[in-house]
Parts: sequence; structure tokens; C-alpha cells
Amino acid sequence: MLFEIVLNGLLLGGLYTLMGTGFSLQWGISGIINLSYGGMMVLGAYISYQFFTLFSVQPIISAIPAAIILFLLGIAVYRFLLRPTIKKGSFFVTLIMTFAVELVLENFMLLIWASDYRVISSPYSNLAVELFNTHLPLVKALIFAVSFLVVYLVHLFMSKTKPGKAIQASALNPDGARFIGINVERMYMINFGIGCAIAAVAGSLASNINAFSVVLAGGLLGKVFVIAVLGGLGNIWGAALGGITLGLVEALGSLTVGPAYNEALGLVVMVVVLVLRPRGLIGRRFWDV
Amino acid sequence: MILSENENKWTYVGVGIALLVLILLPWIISGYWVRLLTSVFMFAVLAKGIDLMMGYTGYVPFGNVVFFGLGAYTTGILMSRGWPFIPGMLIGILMSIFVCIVFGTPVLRLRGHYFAVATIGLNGAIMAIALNATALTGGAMGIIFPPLDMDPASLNRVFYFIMMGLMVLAVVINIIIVRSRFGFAIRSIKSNEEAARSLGINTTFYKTATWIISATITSVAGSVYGWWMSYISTVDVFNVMIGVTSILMVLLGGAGTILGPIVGAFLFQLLSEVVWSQFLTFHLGILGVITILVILFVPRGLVVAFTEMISTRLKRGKKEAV
Amino acid sequence: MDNGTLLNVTNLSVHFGALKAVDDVTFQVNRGDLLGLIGPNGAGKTTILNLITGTIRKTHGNVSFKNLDITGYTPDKVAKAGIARTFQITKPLIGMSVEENVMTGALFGRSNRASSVKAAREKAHTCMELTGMMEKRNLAVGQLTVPDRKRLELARSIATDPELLLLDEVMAGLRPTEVDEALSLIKRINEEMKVTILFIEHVMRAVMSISTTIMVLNYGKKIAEGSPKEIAGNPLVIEAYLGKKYAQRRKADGQ
Repeated sequence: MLFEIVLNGLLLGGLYTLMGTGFSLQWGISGIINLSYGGMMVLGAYISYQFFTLFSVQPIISAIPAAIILFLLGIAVYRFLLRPTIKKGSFFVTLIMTFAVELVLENFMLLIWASDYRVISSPYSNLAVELFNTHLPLVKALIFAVSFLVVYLVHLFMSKTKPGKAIQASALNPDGARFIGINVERMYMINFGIGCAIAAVAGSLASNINAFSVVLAGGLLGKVFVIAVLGGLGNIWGAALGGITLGLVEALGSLTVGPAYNEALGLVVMVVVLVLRPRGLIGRRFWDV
Repeated sequence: MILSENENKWTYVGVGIALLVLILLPWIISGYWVRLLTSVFMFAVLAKGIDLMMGYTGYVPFGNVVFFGLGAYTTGILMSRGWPFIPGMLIGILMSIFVCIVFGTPVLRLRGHYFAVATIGLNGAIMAIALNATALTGGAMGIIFPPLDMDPASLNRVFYFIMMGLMVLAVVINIIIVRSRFGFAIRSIKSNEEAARSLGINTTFYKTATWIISATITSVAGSVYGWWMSYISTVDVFNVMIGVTSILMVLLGGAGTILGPIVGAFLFQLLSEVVWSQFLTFHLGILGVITILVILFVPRGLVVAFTEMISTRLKRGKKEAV
Repeated sequence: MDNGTLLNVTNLSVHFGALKAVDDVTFQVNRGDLLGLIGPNGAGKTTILNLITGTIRKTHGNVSFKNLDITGYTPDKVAKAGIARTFQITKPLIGMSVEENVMTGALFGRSNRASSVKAAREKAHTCMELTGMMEKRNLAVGQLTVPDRKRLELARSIATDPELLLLDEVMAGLRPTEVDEALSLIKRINEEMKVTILFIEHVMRAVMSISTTIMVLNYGKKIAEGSPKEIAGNPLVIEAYLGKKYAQRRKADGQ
């Protein structure tokens, strides 16, 4: 029983890692705390759901159109709303702008899909494996694997490809990057788009195992913030550590105080980490960001 | 210079007239409008609470509504056990101060971003606790306050004046702070925190102290709200939207100004009433769009834009006269 | 430690990974001194200032001020202990007027914890008169020229009533007449207000003309310390600034 719960926590941690990576990239590199991240995840879930129900696209594959659409949406949001705001105002005004985007997104989704809960269920949804006397749904394992695969792909993109390295350069030393001809603003924009695409994939993967609705967007944002803080910013492996930690904390929490206190628990862990290790469990110092 | 940067004697005349009108209104307008204005006053208090942090220290507590909820719930729990209102309200304040100190001391040391979003988490967490400590808080059922024995019109008026009094109190507190030594400390934190520290200012202390003041008035507003409504539940009083709309009001009216948050609250609530009654399904979206437009086109807020426009006209007038 | 020593820095080091920005530096500043801190760019001068004021944390070593161990103090505690500083790139309090800037210094500095706003205003006036900023006291920071910003920063820092003042390249960007003004102002602060001064400077004639002692840093290490005359003739110093070849040529020329 304990093993099953811990195992589920770990698997959930994979999904959390993916969620956290997108948010962490936007925060650490583009310098934006994206309050519409939760909404974007849910939008990604809805888009996958539509592709699944309307065009019978397989559940995991249906993440791809969601990712593409959210990537383009992210770029548009950055270019037309965020960039002018950053130029003009202080940091928190940008924060409020992302919140305004969230409001518009939520309204949009409510109009189309209402607040009903949806879930993608396919023939595979109920396949499971019996492992060490515990019931392991195959979908969860698959999602775990896909999550890490995507995170790994993002890592490869960032460290091995030219645009990826240009993005990193823009974050580490914007003036230096401009000096050697990198269009730093475009890099931030692309990076933001990538973050949104990752949100879409995470949302769409999650829709396979959990019912989702617009109502959940706020809670998702809360979780993703905890993951980013635990792991440090702009740091993909940090997001992994943060994601898995949160998954385990929630699992153990549900055993001890009950699942309703998940949010409170995550918050407590986050504050403890902030006080003791402000860098996050392995990431950079916040003061420097 | 008390009320604003560009004031003159007409500012005081204007404010005096406005106050007089507000005092007389409850006997002139219908109950619906009295209640609407009462809620405007309440939002003005919340906006002032937010502006103390946002306009002066530069730190924005997105989740400030948590104190509203704490005030409401603490007062409600105690009153439903027979306590009178004022002690209930005071305990609510103590709870809020406790949270400020415990949460604020570690998180205010960091930069503004983390504080802003962490307070959203704080609100969510406390809301979850309120929702689940069913024995104490009634869980999803909410809390019922002992009702007041009064006819509706008098009831409306009583709370109208209580909220208005609270609003005036918030303004007075703001004025006192700005001109005091404390005010210098927090204004310098917003201007340049590193420089402030180099002058001997313990910035974490001042940020926390400001938050405590902000939390206190927000908590009182919550206590009064609960008493007024006679019934509260977690989704009402821990609603993040309340906190965020307060921020939008401050932005609209102008952060760091004495009258700005109040003007913002008035405009915003009245606008919201119109939108809500006509465009319910687009309510959130319109709010979002308005925010976007304000940020892109009126970034310093309406009060500043308005007063600057007036003083420019006055200066131009003088120049032409010469 | 005898009565004359105000600041005592022992074996101070800070490492950023493999880079030793400040490497085992030891020195003292005596009451009434005007200690000039010079060295090529990147030598670690500002870093030492930041270490003393607690802006960055040391890796090794100790800083004590008037017999008080201030190693590890946060910047505000250091200021309250009696050490004030200016910044290389000035940090005026934007949104507040010149007068309000200086008043902030007066309200929160060393001995003024219970000071009233009124008393702070008077003190600010004194400091602004000294630095020639009185006429500009109601201006917004954004309207100030570079020399004025420096004067403001100076006024603000002395308003905190410090015993030790750390100046970081105050002369940078000033024209020669302005440099002379700044020099006489610094001397007045040192002599009339009895403030000990440690100042980082690149403008050589400034350092040479008013310093009681000069300390030279290169690559994080202290390479020389002494009177202006001693420093001017020190081959290590010449080498640090002008390179080995030049130093050798001088030696060969019998200087």
C-alpha cells in the first residue's frame, strides 16, 4: 500500500517535472512569472481533447497539435502584450499583464467548454501491470516516460542546438549576446513560446489520467510555482528534482494528513526551502536572478 | 502637500464636497445603491491595503485577500460562539499579524517576484485549511454570523457608515505614514533597496511592518464584511480575484498616491457593476482586456494622468497670460 | 589594537569558484586617515568595499571596526555601526527629491535612530550646504547632472553621521575643475567633520595629493602600502600599472 502510493507519487513527479520545466524556463530565462501558465496547461488539455474526440488522434500524440498551437499563442502574447509592458513598467506590472491574459484565457475556455470536467479515456486507459503486488496503470508509466523524454529533448535543444544556445546566452549575458549579433528579444520570445508549448504538453498528458476543467487552472499555477522554487530557476534538472520532490511530498502527505492539504503542504515545503536554501535544492541563487 | 503632488485648495474643496455628499446619500438613494457604495468603500479599503505595499515598498502581495478571509472567518467563528464583534475582530487582526510575521520574515527578504506569487500560495493554503477544518469552520458550509436586529434600511446605513469610516481611517493612516520617518524608510525601499540598506535601513523589518499594517486594515474589512453579509464561505472571502481586483484598482487610480486607490476602487466597482449586469458571460474576459489596456496605455494610473494634465494646462495658461 | 585604529581587516578573502577576487588582504585604517585604494581595473577594490559593508559575503578573514567584529554584518547593520559608503554608479533614491534623499540618510544613520523628521531636515540642510546642493534641494533626482548626483550621494552618506566613509571612484566622470572641488570637499569632510575616509580612485593626482596613506591592489592581492611618495617609486606598483617591460626599462635607466 505504501509502495503503491510512493510509486504513484514518483510517477506523478515526472509530470510535475515537465510542468515545472516550462514555467521555470519562462521565469529563469525570459524573466517572466507567467500567471497564465495554469490556464495554458488547461487549454493544452482541451485542445488535445478536441483532437482526440473530433479527429480520433491518439491520446499521447494529441499533445503535439496542442503544443504547436500554444507555442504560437505564446509567441503572440509575448510579442504584443508582454514585450511592450516590460519596456514600460516595473516587474509586477508584467506580472499583472500575465494575470490579465489568464483572465481572458479562462473566459474564452468557459465560453467554449463551460466548466465541466473532461477527461480523455481511451482503450489503453485501463491497462495496468501488476508489479510487486501493486496495481500500476500503464498510462501513468507512459506519461512518466514521455514527460522525461520531452524534458530531455528540451535539454538537448537548449544545450546542443544553435537557437538553444542563443537563448541561454541571452539569459546569461544579454548585452554580450547582443554584441555578437543575437537578437535577444527574439530569443526571449521563442523561449516564452517554448514554455507555453511545454505547458500544453503537460496539460494534455495529464488529461489522460485526471479529469480537467478551467476551474483547476489556479491550483496548477500554485503547484508549478512550488516546483520551480524547489528546483531553482531556469534549471531543467532542478525542475526534475522539484517535480519529483513535490510528487513524493504529496504522496506522503495524502497518507498522513489527507489529500485536501496538498496545497498547504507544498507551500510549507516551499517556504522551508526558501528559508534554508534560497537557491532551491540545487539551482542558482534567487538574489542573482 | 497632503493629498497629492499637484494639489491646491480646490483639491480640498473637492474632497470636502465629496465627503458631504457621501454622508447625505443614504437618505437619498435606494438600498441597492447604498449597498453598492458600501462595497465600493470596502474595496477602497482593500485597495489602500494593497497600495501600502505596492505603492510604497514596491512589493505586491497578490494574495493579500488571505487577511480578508482570516478576519472574516475568525470573527465569524468567535461570534457564532457568542463573542461580541469587537473582540472577534481584534483576534482576527492578531491572526493576520501572526501570519505576516511567520510568512513575511523569510519571504520578504527575497526579491519582489517571489513574494508576489508566494502570497497566492499562502492564500490557497489557508483557504484549504479553512475548507477542511470542518469542525471549526463548517468546511464548505461556511459560517453564519448572528444577525443584527434592525430593519433593512437602517442596516444598510449602519454598514455604509462603518465601511466609509474604515475608508477614511485608511486614508488617515496613509497620510500619517507618508510624512513620518517610517514613510521615508518604505519609500526608499521602493526607490532603491540597496541604497536604503546602505543608509542603515533594515529593509526586511520595514517591509514586514508595512505588511502588518496592510494586513490589519484588510482583516478589519473582512470582519466587517462577514458581519454585514451574515454568511461567509471560503470561496467568497479567500477569493484570489478580490486581491487581484484590488491591485487593478490601485493601478487604475495610481499607486503610491493617497487618493489613487480610492478613485480606482470607485471607477472599477461601478464599471464592474455595469459589465456584470450586461455582460455576465464575458465578465472575466472584459476585466482582463481592461487591465491590458490600462497597462499599455495609462501605466501610471488615472489620478496621476489627470492631475498632471490639469497642472500642465494651468502652467500653459500662466505662460500664455505672461 | 591601539586607540588610533578604526578599521582592522585581517586575511580577508573572497573566492568566486576558482577566482580569488580578494586574496588574503590585511590592512588597517587609523582614525583621521585618508586612505587611498588604487590598482588596475579588476584588482578587487570595489569588492573589498563590498566585503566591508556586508554587501557580499567573505570566504575567509575578518573585519573589525572600533573593536567590534563586523564580519558577516548585513549592510544596514554596518551602516548603523558607523560606516557609510558611496557607489561607483550612483544610487540615488528615485522618486524622492534631493532633500528627501539626504534626509533619509539623516533619519537612519548611525546615531539618529530616534530622530524626528524636523531634525533630519536640519541635518540634511547642513550636509547639502557643505556639498553645495542647497539650491537644488527640491529637484527630482532625474533632473540632476552627473556631478550633482555625486554631490548628492556624498551629502546623503555624510548625513548618516559616519565615522568611516568609503568612497568608490567619486571622481569618475568629473572634469578637472570638478575634481579639484571634490578634493577640497573630501578634505573638509575629513578635517572638519572628523570623518576617516577610505577612497577608491583612478584619478592619480587626486590620490597622490590628499592621501595620508595609499594601498595598492592587483589581482586581489595587496602589493604595496605606504605614503604617496613611496608608492610612486615602488617598482611593483609601476609594473602593475604599466607592465613588466616598462618597469624593467625604468630600472635599466637607473631610476
